[in-house]
Parts: sequence; C-alpha cells; structure tokens
Amino acid sequence: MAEAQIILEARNLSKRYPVKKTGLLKRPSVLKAVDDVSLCLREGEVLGIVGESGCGKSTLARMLAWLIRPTSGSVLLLGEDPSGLSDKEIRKLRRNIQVIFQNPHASLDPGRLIRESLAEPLQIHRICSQEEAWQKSRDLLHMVGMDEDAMDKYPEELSGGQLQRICIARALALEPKILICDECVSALDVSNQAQVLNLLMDLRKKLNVSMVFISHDLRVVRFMSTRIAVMYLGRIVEEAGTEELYLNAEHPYTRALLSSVPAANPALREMRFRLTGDIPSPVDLPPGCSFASRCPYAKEECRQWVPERLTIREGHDTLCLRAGEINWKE
Amino acid sequence: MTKYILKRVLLIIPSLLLVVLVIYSLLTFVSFGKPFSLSLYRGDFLDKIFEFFHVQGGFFSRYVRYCWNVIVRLDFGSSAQTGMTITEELMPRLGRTMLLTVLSLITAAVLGIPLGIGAAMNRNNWQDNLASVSTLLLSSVPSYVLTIILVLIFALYLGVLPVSGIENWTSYIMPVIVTSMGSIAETTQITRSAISSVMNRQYISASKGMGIPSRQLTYMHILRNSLTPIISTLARNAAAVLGSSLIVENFFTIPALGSYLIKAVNDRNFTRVLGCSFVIAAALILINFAADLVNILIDPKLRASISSGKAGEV
Amino acid sequence: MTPKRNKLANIVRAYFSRPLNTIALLCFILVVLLCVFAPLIVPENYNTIHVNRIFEKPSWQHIFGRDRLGRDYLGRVLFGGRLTLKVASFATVIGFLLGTAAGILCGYFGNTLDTVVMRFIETLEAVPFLLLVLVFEIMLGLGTGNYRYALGVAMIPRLTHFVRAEVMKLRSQEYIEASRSIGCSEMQIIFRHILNNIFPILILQLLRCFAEAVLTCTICGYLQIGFTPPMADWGTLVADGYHVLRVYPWISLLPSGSVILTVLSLNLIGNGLHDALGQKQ
Repeated sequence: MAEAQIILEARNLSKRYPVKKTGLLKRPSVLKAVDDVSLCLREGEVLGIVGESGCGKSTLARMLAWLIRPTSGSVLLLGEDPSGLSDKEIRKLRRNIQVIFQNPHASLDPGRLIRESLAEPLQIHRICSQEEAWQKSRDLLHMVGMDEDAMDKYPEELSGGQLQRICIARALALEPKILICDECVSALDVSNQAQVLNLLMDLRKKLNVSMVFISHDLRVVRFMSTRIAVMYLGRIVEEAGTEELYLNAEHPYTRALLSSVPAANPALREMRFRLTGDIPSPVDLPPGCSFASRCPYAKEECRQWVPERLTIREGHDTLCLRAGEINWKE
Repeated sequence: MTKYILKRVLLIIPSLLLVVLVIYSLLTFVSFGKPFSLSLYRGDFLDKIFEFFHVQGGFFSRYVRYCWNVIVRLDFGSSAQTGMTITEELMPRLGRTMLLTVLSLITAAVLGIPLGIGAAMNRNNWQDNLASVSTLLLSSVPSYVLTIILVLIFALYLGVLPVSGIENWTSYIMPVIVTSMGSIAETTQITRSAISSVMNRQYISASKGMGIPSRQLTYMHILRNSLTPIISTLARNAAAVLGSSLIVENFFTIPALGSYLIKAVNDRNFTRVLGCSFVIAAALILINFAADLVNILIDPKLRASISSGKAGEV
Repeated sequence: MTPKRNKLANIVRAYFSRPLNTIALLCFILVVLLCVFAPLIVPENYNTIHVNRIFEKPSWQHIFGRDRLGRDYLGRVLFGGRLTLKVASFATVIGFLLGTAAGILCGYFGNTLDTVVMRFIETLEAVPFLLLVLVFEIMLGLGTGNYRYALGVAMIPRLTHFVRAEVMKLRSQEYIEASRSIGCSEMQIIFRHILNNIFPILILQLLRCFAEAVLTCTICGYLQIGFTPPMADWGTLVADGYHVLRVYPWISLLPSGSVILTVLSLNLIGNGLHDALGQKQ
C-alpha cells in the first residue's frame, strides 16, 4: 500500500523563551516550550496531539500554522519552508492551512457581522466579488449545519457551539488541505462538543481534509485521530496509530494518561497507576528525561541521559530509555 | 533597589544636558549661527582644553563652556538690560515658581481627597452629583476666566486679596487656587474611584466577616489601601502642575519663571531664554525624580517589580 | 437595511434620548455656524475704528456693543471665534492624526518600536506647554499664529497613551490571530479589525481633545502669544477687557461666555456620547 504524501512536516522544532531573573545571575533562564519536536502529517490523516496543560501543545500548534516563528527547526508546508519566502508568498500559502482556536467567542471580531467574518478570507485573497462572497458564506453556513439567518447577527448574539461551527465554516472558506484544531471543543459543553466533533468528522470525509487535532482530553483525541502523539513538557514522548497506542503504549506517561481516563468497564480499572512526585517547572528543566521525577519506573540512567527517539514497532515511536523493558503487568 | 535609584540619579545630569543642547541648538539655529552673547567667564582650565583640541569659539565649545559655567559656578551669564547676572534674576523667580507648584500640589491633596471621600461614601446623592457637575463646569472654564471671577470677588468687591505681584503671603492664595483647580478635580475623581473600588473588594467584606469592631479600623483600612493610586497620580501630575503654574503666574503678574520666559522670548533675549529653560528643565527633572521616589516609597507592587528585574519603566 | 446600520442607529437614538445631549449638540452647532458664517452676519466692516464711539453699551444696532476702539463687538467676537476654532481644529487634527498613528504603531507592533517611540513621547510630555509654545514661536517666527503647531504637538502624548492602551488590549485577542492565519497582512488587520473596533472611543477622544484645544488656544490668546493686533481670538478679547472690567464688563464677559458655552457643550456632547456608547456595548 503506497504511503500517502506528507503534507505537513515539523523537523526538530524548538521554541525557547528567555525568562528574566533578578540582577546578579548572568544567564537568563530559558523556558523550553517546545523541545526538538519532529512530526509529520500525511494526506488524509488526523494527527492527534494530547498532553496536559502547559506541555506546549498550543505553542506547537501555532508553529505548525506558521503563526509563531520557531527558535530552531522548521515547519514544511507542502514541502515549502517559510523562512525562505516573502511575506506575500507566505500569505498565499496560508490558504492551505487553517486554524480553529479554543475560544469561539474570542475568535470572531465582535464588531463585525457573521457574514463579514465569513467573507473575510475570500475578500483578503480576492477570490471573488462581494456578491459571490455573500453567496459562498451562505453555503458555508449550510455546510456546518447552521441556518442562514445567522448571517446578519453579531457574535455576541450566538452561543459557543454555534460560534465554533461558524469558525469552522470560516476556516473552510479557503478550501484548505490542513485544519489545525487547537483545543477547539474544550470550551464547549458536552453536547456541543459532540455536535462539533461529528461535524468535523463529516467534513473530513466529505472534503478530504487532513487534520491536526490537539486536546488534553484523551477520549476526544481518540475519537478523532488516526495517529496520536503524546506530549510532555515540550517533547513528544510517544507516537503511534490510535489503536496501537491504546493497546500497546510503551511510555510510562502514556500509560498514566490512559489509566486516568474514567473507564465505564470496571475490569479495565485495574490498570491504574499513580504518578509520584511533582511536575518540574518548564523553566530550567532538570537533566535527563523530563518525566523521570514522576516516573515509577525511572532508573539512574533516566535522570542522567536524555532519551532518544526509538522505533519500537513499525509506526510506533517512543522516547524512553527503558522502552520495551518494562513489564506493564507489575 | 538602591541600584535602581542610583541609576536614576546618575541619569539626571545627562538628561539635563541633553535638554539644554536641544534648546541651545534651536536658538543658535534661529539666530542664524551668530553667537548670541553668553558673556561667560573665561580663562579657566576649559580654555586650555579647547586650545589643546583646537576648538576655540565653535558651536560645541560654547555649549560646553556654558554648561560648565552653569553647573559648576552657577553662572548663567548676565543681561545687559538690568546689569544683574541672570543667576540673580532667576533664583528668586525659581523660588516663587516652586512655591506655587508645591502649594498647589498640597492644596490639590488637601481639598481633593476629602471631596473624593465624600463623593465615594455617598453614592448618588447630592454630594456625588455636585461633584460630577462641578467637575464638568470647571473643566469647561478656562483658567483666566476663573482668575477674573476670583479677582472680581476677592480683590475688587471684597478688597481682601491683592490682584497682582507678590506683596505677602496673601498674594499666593488666588494663584494657588487657580493653578490647583485641574488637579483638585482630578484628585477628587481618582479618590472617589479608588475608594469605591476598595470598598467593593472582597477582602473588605471578609474583614467585616471576621468581626473587626470599630468603624475607625474599617476607614483606616480603606484609606490606607486607596492612598497609593491617589498619591502616585498626584506625583505623576507634578510636572503638569509646574506647567500650569508657569501660565497662571502670568495672569497674576507674579514675577516668576513663566513671565520671565515670555518676556525673554518677546525681547529675543536668548541668553535669558536659555537660562530660564535650563532652570525649568532642571526643576522638572527634579520634580519627576522626587515623584518617582514617592511612588517607590508608597507602592509595594512597584518595588517588587523593580526588584524582580523588570525594566524600570512602567 | 443591514443591522450594521442598526448599531449606529441605536447609538444615535440612545444619544438623543436625553434632552441635555440634544441641547448641547444644538448649541455647539449654533456656535460653529455663527463663527463660520461671520462674514455674512456682521453688519459693517468690523475693523472700522470709530474713535468717537468707544465703549458703547449693547444696543439693538450693535448687539454686543462697541469695544475699546469703537469697533462693532459682535464682529470682533464672531471673528475671534473663527480664529479660535480654526486654530483649535488645526491643532486637533495634527495631534489626533500623529497621536493615533503613533499609538497604533506602538500598541500593535510593540518591542523596540514601542520603547523608542514611548521614550520620545514621555520626553515630549515632560515639557511644560508654555515652553513648548515659545520654542515653536522662536523656531517659526513670532506673532504669526504658529503656536497652532505647538498645540498640536502638545496633544500627541495623551492620544498616544490612550490609543496604545486600547490597541494593546485588542492585539492579544484571538480573532486577530485568526485573521493572521487566514492570510491578512498586518496593515489589513490594523484597518479591518483594530481601527474598526476602537473607532467609537476614538471619536470620543477627538471631542475631548478638541475641547481642550479650544481652551488652550484661548489661553495663548489671553497671554498674547502668537497674536499681533488687530488679530484677536476669544482669549485676546477677554484680556483686552480685563482692565475695564468694572466699568465695561461685557468686553470680557461676552467672549468668556462664548468660550464657556462652546467648551461646555462639547464636554456635554462627549459625556452623552460616552453614555450612548456604554449602553450599546
């Protein structure tokens, strides 16, 4: 089976922020929001990225969308590296990758009508006339299951769920190949979540859009994704296909995440294990594996050497020195 | 902390020199390069330095000599008209301007704070409304009209206060009132909003819940916590009050820096203009510095942000 | 009829719901019209000096009486108003444009640009107005009304601070980022989103700045800065009448009243607009 094309690739992506400290210390401390992340998204895939708050998911999302410049590494969109391109060319390429943000109320200009916000991408890129833009906006609204009379409303008059669907509509206006969803259902209540997720699944099938789906909620990520990458303190600690991850997670952190999901089936609850220790501050990470301080399986080497990415099985990578050694039944 | 203050002190002289350089350049530019007479003392070691570097009599050397004379020997030159040195002319005037400024600031605090407290405590009754209306009216009346009204009432009809000049302490009353008007209005507003916001904050209710007995304690509590923004606003406005007093001095013909400056400009007496601007700039820089010190003293948040290494600017 | 117009209509309706606002607006318009059409209203060449008829009291022929040199005072006051309003508008426009531009640039782009420009603005702020006016006077020549530039420049810091604060509030909103990801250039974002949202409060600031400009302009007039006779604005007229205040009070009262009326109505309009906007948003 021929592998689908890679349309979005992150190579050794890092984002570091200097943090000022009091006077006498010479070197400012460094906050490593994203540390040497490499990912790729193939056509037709949904790549899920999951992790706790503060692990760097949003920073990663913005770098993938070319909204933040990485400190090192590069993001290749359809093979193009933005650092070599002019602003105009970058803006043109932006049509291929769109973002849906977390807070639907803040993602739309409160001073503009919905129809204006929807038509904005078309007007910016001068795709069609004003009249055609209104028509297309109407079609987009229908596509996300909303009624036409939302066109002439202001964002403040609509609910979170409706607004998020409008954001999806706006993102689809330019017919992008890639959609990045950054915690896009986290701000919604459960019933709205389900609606939006189902909508995304439908659209994905209909329009053949590839997605990067980011969330802290494992159940949601599992529902949406074909592949999942687990993130911890700026590093991808494990990456595998969805089912493979669920059945054969090899990183202790992934196991901890999986076991923290409330399971309806009591038989599955036996697999819980607790994490010990405190999460270290992302500023000035301790040497070695960043998870070592909480890992029940950590050994001496774990605290000294930063683990390298290992391919355990085909399509399944993990970032653990003890990969493969650990007997999970203990 | 002390490092920060030290840094600010060290910045005073360079800022002053920069201001003087700007004004000096302007004046030279306007007088088409003809050196206007600065009549400054010569023959000290500066001459030797200039000889060494072959920069006698040029634009920059005259500037340096001027600054040197002013800072080291307090010599601004002399004016041909009165035969006095400019220093002699400026110093008493500086005193009067500063007196006016300081008195206005104090008046603004003394009158504005109680008014603001009254307005905050009695929401939406006649005191609050009176405060709003009077603020509106006062900000619509130019200062000279206010002057005229006060002069009409107190000087012409009641004959109580002098109209112009400086005779005794009573001469300062009306000028101070007019200069402080704007600050009084602003202080009242700031006090009102600061006290209201403190009163509404949750920790006040929490204290009440804890059973703090006397009303006095509650008032002291409220006042102490709201004093910070009030005083810091006043301090920040000190420079504006100075500017205001320069203008009001003219209404009351008080012989101070404001009228001196206007007359010097009209006479095209650039030596005086330069000297006066120098003094005004110095006064401003010092006032701002004092204001910053006051702010640091009373605002713990400011102290914390300075200590934690953030840049010293807000 | 798009709902966008409804938003404007709502604001207008809210504004006129209070009679005081309507009165203020009418007053201001009246003043402006009188001053603008002064040449048509004033009966004779108002600069004609009638030495034998100085200080005549107001009468039906000369509604404002005559002044120190026997000139028709109504004409003097109306033309004085013209001058005041002209200078004040000029200064406001300069200050407003420059201040808003600086505020947007600083607030939106931040970093080095922000630091550098704000340092400059702070230095500007620290200069007392009188000094600023006189410096401009020196630079541009005495007595030719050049203090209008000083007035404009003096207004820049306040506007810059205000606009910068508002823009900084907006620029971290997610819809700005969303527009960027759609492919808007920074300039497009500034015009489509930032300006669009700060427009109402910007207008409010404009009104307040204009009111202050009128006041300050008359102060300069009072101090005879930048004016050569017979040129006069309201402030100069007040100063003229100061010495004869007890005997011929109207010389000072009439222009003072005009200033107060103008500025008061402007302030009331500003307050009314502030309330009308508050209700909507």
